[in-house]
Order: sequence, then C-alpha cells, then structure tokens
Amino acid sequence: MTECTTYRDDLLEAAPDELAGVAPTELADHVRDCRRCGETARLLLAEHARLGNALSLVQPRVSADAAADGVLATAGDLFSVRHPRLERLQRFAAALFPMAAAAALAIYIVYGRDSARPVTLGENERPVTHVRITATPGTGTIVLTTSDPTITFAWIGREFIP
Amino acid sequence: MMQAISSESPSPDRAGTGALVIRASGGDAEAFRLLVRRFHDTIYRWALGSTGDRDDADDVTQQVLLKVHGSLATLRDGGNLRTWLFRVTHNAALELHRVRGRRAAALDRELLLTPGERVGLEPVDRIDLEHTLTLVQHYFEELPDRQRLIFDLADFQGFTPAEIAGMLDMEQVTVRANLCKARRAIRTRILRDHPELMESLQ
Repeated sequence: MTECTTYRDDLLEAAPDELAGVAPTELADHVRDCRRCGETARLLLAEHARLGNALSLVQPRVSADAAADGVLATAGDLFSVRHPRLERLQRFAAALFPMAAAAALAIYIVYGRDSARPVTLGENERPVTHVRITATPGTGTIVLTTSDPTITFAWIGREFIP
Repeated sequence: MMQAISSESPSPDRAGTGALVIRASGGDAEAFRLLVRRFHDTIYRWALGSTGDRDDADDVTQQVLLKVHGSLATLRDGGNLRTWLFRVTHNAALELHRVRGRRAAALDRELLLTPGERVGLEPVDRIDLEHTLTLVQHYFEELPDRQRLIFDLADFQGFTPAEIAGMLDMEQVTVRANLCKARRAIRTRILRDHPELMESLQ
C-alpha cells in the first residue's frame, strides 16, 4: 500500500492506456498489479467512456444535407445579389461618358460661344445662368434643361453595356 | 490562402475528398453535399468543443461550411482539408466568443435521449442518465475552453499532443499541461462521487 501513494496522484493525469494497464509505463504496471489502484483506474476509464459516449450523442440540430442546401442557397443568393449590382455599375459607367460629353457640349454652347463671338441680347432675353442635367441609367436618354425655358437639350442614344 | 500541410500522413479517404473538392469547385452541388456529409459532424464536434454551447456550435458550423464553399477553388490546390477545417472552425468559434462573450452551457437531459427512449426509461436508467448529465454538465461548465477542447481532441478523438499542438499553433508542452489539468479536473469530480476511492487518493 505504501507503494500506492507514489501512483495515486498520477492516476488523475494518466493517459487512458495507462489507466487500462496496457501502456509500457510503471504506472500501467502498477495498475495491473494493485487491486485498489486497478479498481480506481477502471472506474475512471468507465466514467471516461460514459462521458465520451454522451458527447458523441450531441449531434447538430440540422442534418448534413439540410446544412449543405442552406449553404448552396445562401451562396446562390449572394451571387444573384452581386450580379445586378455589377450590372448597375456597368450601366452607370456607360452613361457617364455620354453624360460628360453632353455636359461639355452644353457648357460650350452656353458659355464658350460668348467668348468666341459676343452676342447682343434682345430686350426680353436673359443669358442662361445654369444647366440641369438629367440622365436615368437604363433609358439611354440625357436631358439638359437650362435656366432659359426655351433652351433644352436632349441626347438620345443607345446605351453601351460592355 | 493555400493550405499546404503535407507533413501529415495521408488518410485513406483523402483522395476521395480531393476529388469531391475539385468537383464541388466546378459547381457540382451533389459533390458539395457529399463533402458536407463527410465533415459535418466533425466540424460540429469541434465547434461544440470550442464554444461549449449547442447554439453557438450550430452557428459556427454553418459559418465554416459557408467558408468551405467560398474557398473550394483554393482548397483544390492541395493541403490537408481536415487540418484547415479545424483551424477555420476554431477561429470562427473564437470570433464568436469575442463578439458574444462566453455563454453558459445549454445542454439538457433531452439531449442524450431519443424521444422513444424518454418514454420507456426505467428508474435505474433514469439515475444513470442523471449521473451522465451531471458529468457532461461539469465537462462543459467547469473546464476552461482550451482545456476542454484539448481533452476532447486527445482523449475522445484520438489526436496526439503533437498533432494538437500543430492544430492549435501552440507548444506541445502547453498541450500536455492543459490535457493534464483537464483530466485532473474531470477525474477529481468523478471521484467525488466515490468517497471510498477518493480517500485512497488523499
């Protein structure tokens, strides 16, 4: 029994094969030879197995197939959401160039010509002071309205989607 | 994002898994389902070991599967999928803990029984069940996350301390120290119910 005191504390940290008495260690040898330590080791192993079995019973609430389908559906949603966003960006980029060109043209007409060839306004005429550009992606049309209600520019064309 | 851990010995099903990854990365939904069937329970077990909470384990598992789906193109280049999966699972669990904080273990007695078993349980079995539940509750509530995970990987899933050290990116000596602490905590708790044996250890 005196010898047991050497091994008792070791039982608490021993590997399962030592508790089973099959490992090539002094502790395993002792567990095989000592009735009391052997009894303790067997109890620990049994409880160990009980815990392991209980843990193996804890299963995911969702089956593997349902989880896979959920992932596939989510991944599909992500793709379908991403796709229109990309399209919108492409349309915006496609509209940007003609819009910029139309704006440059309008600025030239409103302001640029004045410096090249001065115009004398009639009594009821006022110079255009600002231009409003309206371009709706997808319509292929850009409208430029000015502060002069009699002057409106329209650009109508096909939208280029790369 | 290449995962190349070639030092590990190849598992018997590795070739099959690699083929499934290649097929799934090409858009084969059935191959992806087969992959998930192969690893779903393992990922969940790791997630449960890392989080200690069933709801969190479900969330982590789903996140990992999404990550797998998004990474198929890189996974097909090689590496050990199992090791990569463990790391992704562990990191997802850590991130969840960081966001939510640790939750109390949410295990109940229904967990260990099928509905049929619940109806016909004998009184002796009920006592046995209570005993098991106490043990499981103790395992989840009292062991720190790291100790619980290492204990589970080593003593129930059969990984060696060297493998665990690689998986958790820590020194082997740290793995062994945590494993010993976990065993001691669990076994001391077990022996508390057996005072006659406890005396012999004091």
